[in-house]
Amino acid sequence: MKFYDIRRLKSESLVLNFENGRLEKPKYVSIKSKAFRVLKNGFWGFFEGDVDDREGLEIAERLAAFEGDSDVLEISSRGDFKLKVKKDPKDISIEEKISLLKDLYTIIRADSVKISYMENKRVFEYVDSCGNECNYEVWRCGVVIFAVAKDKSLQAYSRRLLKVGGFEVIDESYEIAEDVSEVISKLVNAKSPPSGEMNVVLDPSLAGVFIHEAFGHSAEADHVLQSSTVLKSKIGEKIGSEEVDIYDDPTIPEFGFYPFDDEGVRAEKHILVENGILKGFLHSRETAKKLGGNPGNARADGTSFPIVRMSNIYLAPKDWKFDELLEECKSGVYLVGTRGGETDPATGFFQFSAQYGYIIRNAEICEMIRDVSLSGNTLEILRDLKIGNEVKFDPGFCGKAGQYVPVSDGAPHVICKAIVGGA
Amino acid sequence: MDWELYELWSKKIGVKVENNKIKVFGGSQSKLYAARVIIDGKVGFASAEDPKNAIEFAKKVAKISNEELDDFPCEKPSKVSGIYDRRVEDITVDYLREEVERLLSSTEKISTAEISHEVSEVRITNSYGCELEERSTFSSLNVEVVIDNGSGYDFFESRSVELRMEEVAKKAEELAKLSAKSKRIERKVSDIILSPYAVHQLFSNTLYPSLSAENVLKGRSRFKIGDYVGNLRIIDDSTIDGGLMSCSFDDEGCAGRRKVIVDENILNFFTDWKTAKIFGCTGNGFRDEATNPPAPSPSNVVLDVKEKCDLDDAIYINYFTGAHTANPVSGDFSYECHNATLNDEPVRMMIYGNVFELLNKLAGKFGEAKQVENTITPALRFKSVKLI
Repeated sequence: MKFYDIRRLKSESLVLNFENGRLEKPKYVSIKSKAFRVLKNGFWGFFEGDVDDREGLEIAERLAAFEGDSDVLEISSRGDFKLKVKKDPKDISIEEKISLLKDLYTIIRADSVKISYMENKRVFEYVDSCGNECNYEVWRCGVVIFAVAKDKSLQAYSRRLLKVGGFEVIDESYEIAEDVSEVISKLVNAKSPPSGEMNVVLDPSLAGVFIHEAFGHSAEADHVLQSSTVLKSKIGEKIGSEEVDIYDDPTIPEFGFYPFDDEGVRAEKHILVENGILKGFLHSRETAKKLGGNPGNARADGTSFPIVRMSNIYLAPKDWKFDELLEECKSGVYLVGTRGGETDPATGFFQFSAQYGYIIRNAEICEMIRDVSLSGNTLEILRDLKIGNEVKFDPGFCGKAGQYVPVSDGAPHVICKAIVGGA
Repeated sequence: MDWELYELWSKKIGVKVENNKIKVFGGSQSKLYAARVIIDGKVGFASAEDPKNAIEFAKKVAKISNEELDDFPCEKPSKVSGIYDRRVEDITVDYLREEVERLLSSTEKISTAEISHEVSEVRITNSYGCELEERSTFSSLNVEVVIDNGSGYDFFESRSVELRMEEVAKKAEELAKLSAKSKRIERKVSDIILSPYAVHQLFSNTLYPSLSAENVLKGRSRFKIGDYVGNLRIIDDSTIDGGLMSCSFDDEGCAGRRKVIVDENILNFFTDWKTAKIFGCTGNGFRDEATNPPAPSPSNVVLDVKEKCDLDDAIYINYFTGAHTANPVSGDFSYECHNATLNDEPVRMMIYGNVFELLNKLAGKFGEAKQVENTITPALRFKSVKLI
């Protein structure tokens, strides 16, 4: 065989759901698993299961039964990493965690409220046939708040606070609870949005989703090899306005943080776009070998086969103040928060939904609107983007090929022109 | 103390194709245990790699839980056939090679494809004497084709080993060609026909959540028993021969059964064992993952409409982009569509509205019913829908 690697994963999670004043469906989950990859005759054999290393490699080698053109970049990577936390979740009593949820619950005025506290410890070990060996321990903590209320219409609103770190992550949850309470009380009487092509100011959360969904997935090098991205053959070309700088950085202590990727590559910041010019793609060791580039973005959901993924992708801040963006917009909509989105990297068309928004009239924020979506084409939007001066990150779980990994998307406020629609 | 132990064993084998070449041949084997205990009327849940740990952790969780349950079910399971194909157990490397060759010979434009065959066994035991086990199989194929600036996706899922390689590859290719040629239409109000896949995308993200008994009880649904839904019949049936979601018993051990949920008006909701105490048992306590506790979820949802309709002057929508971004509580949605046709011409648009209002515009059904994940439906025609 040309190459093998072994991953060993232990994961422990606690989830506490506080729903309508009661602790419902609390759960503890402990998972232990291993994954084995063997590259032989240019073909990957892969096995996932909790067996001893020799048996796992034998099974994976038996599965490397075809011939192909797969290859892997040789790297040199060794190290141990343990994320330092200020408040180890294991040292916080479960009663204190429940007490926090009760406090948050008292802040929110809504007909139905669900507050979920979650903590996860991921212990990861990696070895490969090149002699690389690394391991790490990382905590992730956070709170998700979901509220439902009814007046003129039945509406739902949610916020997430999820980061790497210990129980200290939760310190910011009170602000989020207050925001949920305020927004849901207004959202129930919000109007339907206008529809058609118009100027749109995106808040950092929605702008971050745009950068993740519309640009980031198109910059994943496996899509380049699959001929399924509009960015194929565009390295060195101008794809956006000169204001556009986009980076992916797994070393930022946000939800997409990791010290080593799932191929043992030490994490580092990657330049994707600078001054509007496409500088690089996100790579695994295989795509880096085939296309040239830096690996470090191969990630797996648990012990699945690692594929090219984002970590903390962000649009760098520029000079526009929020008031200046409104002035530039003059009339249109200001969209806030996200219910997710989807893009087709092959065509560049995307669709995202905001949680709510406001009409912008005469450069001023006016009445609230609900259930509003926008769609457009990635390259057209990037070409005419104006970018605000302060980045904020929003966490989430990104799905690709049936695998979900923690990520965060960062951006300042931006203004663009897009198609807006809503019920 | 009362207890319940859910065990899920699974074995999977499959192939990934990238850019018309076989890339990975993979297998997996896993066993997971999930335990629930009731101590002083309160439920604790935990999942672990061995049953003893799962029970011990569940006991600790029960001490802090407010979740209440009186007991666990003990029912005789239903008889369900067509969910296990012995041949999936014996799939060889040569069989997979032959499958991939058939797929690759069907189109030269595959961007990505995945073939998967899985055998799984569920076992449920509890302190009320429940001892149930069921072995089942699941095979799937998904294909993405990219042609010029268009992309198309299709998939096939089955309980048996046979996968429709040629049919799926050709359909994905056809949709990619449509997508490449599609032109955005002018803003208008038009009749639309949703393919079975588009119906599933829309309803599973907007309508089905409102039919969950848990959501009804927690104020997250607009429905109550007797409410008018539209000219539609919705049956949940976990006993359909060969159904993708068919099972002799749900994930709590309640027998699989057929029940009418909507016959123009709401007659029932999907219930798990807990909400069954209020609305009656429908055998819909399912776990979205083995590591989660059960909650009310649909099994095979059969949709039917009395009236038949034709394609005349309607936009036929194959599938949506961004289906999961709909509002599961209010039912509001706005989706992009790149694989639509109007009088055989490829078109693209954004469609927006509210699912509960849309149901009042249901005009009829078109073509044969098809199962897409948990939805079994023909294409459905809706009148006067807003498009941009």
